[in-house]
Amino acid sequence: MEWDGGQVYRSEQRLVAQAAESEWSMWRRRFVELVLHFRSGAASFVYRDQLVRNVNAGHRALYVELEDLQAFDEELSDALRDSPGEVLAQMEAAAAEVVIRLRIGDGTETVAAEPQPQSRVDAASIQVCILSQEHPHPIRELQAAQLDRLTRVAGIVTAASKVRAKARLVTLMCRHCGHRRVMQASAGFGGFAVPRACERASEAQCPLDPYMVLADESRFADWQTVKLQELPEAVPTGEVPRSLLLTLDRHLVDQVTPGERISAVGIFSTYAGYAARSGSGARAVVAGADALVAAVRAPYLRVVGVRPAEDRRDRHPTFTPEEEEEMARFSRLPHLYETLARSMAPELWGLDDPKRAILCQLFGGSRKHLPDGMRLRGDINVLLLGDPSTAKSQLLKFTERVAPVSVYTSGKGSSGAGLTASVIRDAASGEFHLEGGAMVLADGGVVCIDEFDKMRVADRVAIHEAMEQQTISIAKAGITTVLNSRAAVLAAANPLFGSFDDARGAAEQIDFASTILSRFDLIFVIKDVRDDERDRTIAQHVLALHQRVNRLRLQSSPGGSLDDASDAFTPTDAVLAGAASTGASMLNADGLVPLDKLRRYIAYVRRHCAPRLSPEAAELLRTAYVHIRQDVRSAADDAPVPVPITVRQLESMVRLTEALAKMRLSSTATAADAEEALRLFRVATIAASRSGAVPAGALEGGLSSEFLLEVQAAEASIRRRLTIGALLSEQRLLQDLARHHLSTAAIHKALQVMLGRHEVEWRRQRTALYRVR
Amino acid sequence: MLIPLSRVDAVWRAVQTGQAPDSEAALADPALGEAQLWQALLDSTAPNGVHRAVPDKAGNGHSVPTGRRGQSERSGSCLLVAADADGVAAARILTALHKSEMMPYQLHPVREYATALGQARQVLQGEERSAPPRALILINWGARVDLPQLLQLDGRVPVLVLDAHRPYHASNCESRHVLLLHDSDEWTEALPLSGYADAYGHVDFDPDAEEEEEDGEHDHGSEACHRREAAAYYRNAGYGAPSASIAHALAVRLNKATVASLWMWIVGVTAQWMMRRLGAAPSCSTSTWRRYAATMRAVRHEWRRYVPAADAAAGQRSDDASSCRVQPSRELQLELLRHWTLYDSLLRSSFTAARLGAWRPAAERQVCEWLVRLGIPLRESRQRWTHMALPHKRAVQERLAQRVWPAYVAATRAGERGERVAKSSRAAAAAADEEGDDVAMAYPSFVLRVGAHASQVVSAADMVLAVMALLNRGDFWRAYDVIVGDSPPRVTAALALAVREQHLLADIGARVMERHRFTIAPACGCVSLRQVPQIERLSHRPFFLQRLAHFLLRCLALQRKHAAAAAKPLVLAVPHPSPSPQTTIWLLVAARTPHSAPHCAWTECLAPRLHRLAQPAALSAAPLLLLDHSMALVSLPAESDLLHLLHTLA
Repeated sequence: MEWDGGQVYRSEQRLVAQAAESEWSMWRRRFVELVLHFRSGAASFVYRDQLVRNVNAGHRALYVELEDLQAFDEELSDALRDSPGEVLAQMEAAAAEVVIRLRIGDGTETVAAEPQPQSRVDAASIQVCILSQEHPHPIRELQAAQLDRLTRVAGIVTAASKVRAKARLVTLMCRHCGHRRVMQASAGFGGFAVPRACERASEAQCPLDPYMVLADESRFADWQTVKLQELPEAVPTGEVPRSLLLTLDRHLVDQVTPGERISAVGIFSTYAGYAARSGSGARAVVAGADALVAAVRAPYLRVVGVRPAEDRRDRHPTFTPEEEEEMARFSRLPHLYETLARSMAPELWGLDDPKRAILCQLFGGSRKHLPDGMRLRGDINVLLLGDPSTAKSQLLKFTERVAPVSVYTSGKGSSGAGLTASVIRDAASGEFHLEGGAMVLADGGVVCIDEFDKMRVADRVAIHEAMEQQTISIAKAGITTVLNSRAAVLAAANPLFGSFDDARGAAEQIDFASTILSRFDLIFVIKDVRDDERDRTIAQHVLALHQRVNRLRLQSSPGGSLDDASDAFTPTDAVLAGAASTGASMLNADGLVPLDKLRRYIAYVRRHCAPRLSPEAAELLRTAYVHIRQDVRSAADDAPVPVPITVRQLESMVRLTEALAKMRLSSTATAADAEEALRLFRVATIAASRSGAVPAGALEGGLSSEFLLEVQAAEASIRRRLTIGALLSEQRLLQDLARHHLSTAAIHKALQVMLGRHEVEWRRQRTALYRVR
Repeated sequence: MLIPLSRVDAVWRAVQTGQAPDSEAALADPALGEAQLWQALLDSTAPNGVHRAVPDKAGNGHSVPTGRRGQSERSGSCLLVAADADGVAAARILTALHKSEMMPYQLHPVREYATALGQARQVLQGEERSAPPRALILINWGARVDLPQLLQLDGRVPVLVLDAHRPYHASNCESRHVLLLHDSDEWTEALPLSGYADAYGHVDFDPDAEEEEEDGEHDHGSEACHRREAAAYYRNAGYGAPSASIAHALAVRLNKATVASLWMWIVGVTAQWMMRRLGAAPSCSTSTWRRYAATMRAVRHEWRRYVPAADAAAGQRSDDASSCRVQPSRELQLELLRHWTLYDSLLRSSFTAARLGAWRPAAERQVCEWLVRLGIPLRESRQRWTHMALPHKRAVQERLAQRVWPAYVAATRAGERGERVAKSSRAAAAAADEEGDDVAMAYPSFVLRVGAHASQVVSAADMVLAVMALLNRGDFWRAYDVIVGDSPPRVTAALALAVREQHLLADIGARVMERHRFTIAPACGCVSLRQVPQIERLSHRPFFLQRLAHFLLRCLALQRKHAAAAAKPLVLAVPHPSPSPQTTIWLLVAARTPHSAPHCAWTECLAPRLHRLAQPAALSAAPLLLLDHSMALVSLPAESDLLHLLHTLA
């Protein structure tokens, strides 16, 4: 019994009331009842309270859960599902009625100041937003049967238009007699038609088409269109993702940003598409079939409620207190680093150090803001350089799944604009707007770029800025802006000739400019070592993977695998089990952290932890850096270094140290962290640098000063043979030079140096040399 | 001593005063009982702090507030509850009774005999800080073990036992210190002579040895004869009425029954029925289905007393939120239908999955065919039930049980007999009614409104599943909260767990059936779950495994070629995490259909054989005794030993 309901009982006898009351006003009455009387628990009137709160805060919207509607009045929710447009209009009217009835907010303004009933309702109008938990309808299966029904879809927002004002109530004035009338424009893409004749039947005959629009007396509402693309996991293999146009209005405007995963409840409707309106394009195809063209309409979804997807990879995840407690306990586990490292792609054998590096990358260092406004990046970039079939791509795919925010692309398939941002001309309005590329979409996460070497140099250069400055600056088509792209880059590449050739030095085989190489904090050279023992182990591992049937059969359903037994996060689970008190509840039977929990943990740590170096760690890094510089300098006397060591690398060591501390949710990075960071750095970047420092001549026994002279002589004769702008086949050059009694080793060395200086360049698939300067 | 059902209220006096009744006569005399009740009610106004059960962080139960403890020489009563659905329901009723009389109490969940008895002993002796309790109440355990001996009862503290497990231990019936609340007024079975069975009801009796003796000497005396009788008595393990029903009867007799206690009764009965334990007492001859239907009629009759007259007359749900929270309904044997999708329900409910053979590819096609007959689009059937269109929900409720299902059953039957399809679906429906629970899709039950509004309901069966899902995770206190059903979010969370378990159940069941991971021994069918990956994690979920065992039994029974197995009990062997790598600990879970022979009490049958088989070192600890006799933990060196053991089990 409602506390203010009064002791009056009523029943629907289905005799008189039904006939007297139109269907629409019945829905309105029922919704008023819902707002006033819906309870959860003993005395919490959810919607009444929400309405009062929102209206008092000047937020004229009411968010209704479809489940509650269902629980309160099943017929109303069924009606809403079947004819959402009309019922929703009634619901909004009902909400407005409640506002007036309860005299919420500044009642005097709404009731007294505006005498006309129409505008009174308008002033009190409330937007009713519907939220639902139902399973989303796949975008590609939205068909005509679904038209004009309430539907829930899920997807990624790929583009959002700017907010426009759409007229809701248009005031028209007769040019001739000054008669005014108010027209209501329909929602979504719907408009209104200006009547041709004056409504007032006056003695003065008004001419045809007398009305003009009075814009300043009309009422407008915010309006926006959004492009929603299918979720990547919902796209069938081998198909292109489809997208759907959404319209959002009033309070829903600017709720979503491109790149966000959302689920939207809306009314599936149609509008006369662009082609039909302009006509020309379609007519060219279907000649003389105007009628047909007019009948084909483009679908869109008029959104009535939107919420970020309750997806695992939430951009702004929320954590329950139980979950936080569990993670805090987990962070205190002994051997946490090893446990986490083992949980990285457990089905991949070996690659221990790359896995650890990627783990550091996932956690990231601390981002710093200097007092002068400068920002130092905390993201760690990793490059995997290796032979084919060394599971680089698998590792990338795993990283993409485990990172809270991530984008996966392949180097060959992505352009510079696709990675950064592009300016798109909106087909409908003709205006320009920006669409973020992979680096922008992955802001706050990881960009995985496979086949990095296959990328064109120009495209690769496009991400230079993003990798160090973490911004993307655009000055195109009248748009000048700076976008944030605080993403870590994980790239995988093959060496120059597909696989590493042991006979050649690494420097020859790494085809990257030092500018891009220095931006990677860690560079791993992964070689497919031929070693019987190792081969046997790997073969065994791979075959076991193929044999093992470690999944229970799934009958076309998402849940239900035995993974469920591992108890994904729910508040209930976090409390269960005595294991929870030790933090072991984050681990599965094999003592590994399951993927989803790892992802949650990473998301949590990234949000809540930003460690700083301890003095000891700083000291350690300082001495180490000086040493490394010295070593490299002495080694580099003889040959070009494939991987340069600069201040950037010092910063990367700092970031790695911080990332290692972050894993423990610790606020200071200790000397132990610094040592592990140094170790990683040594096995990765320094090793890569070293391996390249072995010059070709060294195979015959050391780089003597005679050899150096010979190299210089060779260089000089190459310059003589090859004038600037000349092109010569390599074979020919070698033959010529051999005649000058120069050793092949010296010639190769000289060529390498000149290539390094960009004095000469390869042409014709590395068969000919071209002198640039 | 046995307290007949009509006299249960007399024991309440003992709980209140903390003094065991003087004689059986005092209990038997109705007038005296009544008088005691009234006296007790007058006494109960003595100020004692009301204690609300608040779960302790560590989950070890909780104790009475210290402020009150000093004043009374005896602290409140102590309830030791077996952590199962029936136990939780009964505990809810009893704690409500305590609260209504302002009597303090403590509540401790227990899981197996060792800890349970330890705790009981500790409570009886009284720790140094607290006095012994007024009464010790054992809920859903204890009747089968020799309590006077194990707890060294001296009569200072009355011990009440509400237990559905049978048989009673003879010394419990004979002792004056144990008040055994019986589920009826009659007691037909003859008690064996005491002295033959040990404290856990094991009778040292070997049929093989016995036969030899009989050959030699027939009149060896009554000794062997008595021993055989005792052995037969204790082996006849079964179940009586759920303890929640006894607790509700107590509440009724004390005039304190409410809709809440009625709901607990319903939950208790439904839990038993779902495990096919209803009427599984050895003496009971009626089928589970009949027994359930009769109980539900009684519940319905009882229900009328708690609802306004108009409400009851209409017999249908009213939209007014002030109407009764518990409403009768006709439910479908589709588990969790309201909380997941129709498609999943049809494919994965134990009832339909067993008959369909959900592990066969044809099953999905069959489900689609049913959907066609119901007129429900496939997409809609995969939408959550809540969001299905109203006409479609009606179609399911109206046509599935009445037409589609009977027609399917008739068709499969006809196919089995190689005959033509039965004449009409109506005839099939009639046949279905006769055969009872094996074929009827709809059954009478009740729903509980969990929120403030009419359609936020949970059926009794779903509530049982939700409670079991929580108990499976060892979360007694959450189960204790959820069973009342007054907080929709908590119930929803528990139901989500139940849905996951149901998925898992169907998957593991399908896996076992598909790969023929079962053997049929002379005495029982055996399923070893060793091959299922990560199964060790499931070994901590007793109710899940019990349901799985029942599901598999049902699947086997419905298979033509394995029909012989249907009459035998089924044993599920689940590897259990073992402390030492040399031995394997197995959790054995038994299930039987009501038609099959009364199943052997496991521990009794297995223990002597185990002793013979296993090395002494491996069995230094005797089989761990679980409170429910359908499960046992045994430790064995190898899997082959286990299979051998099950094969020899006669």
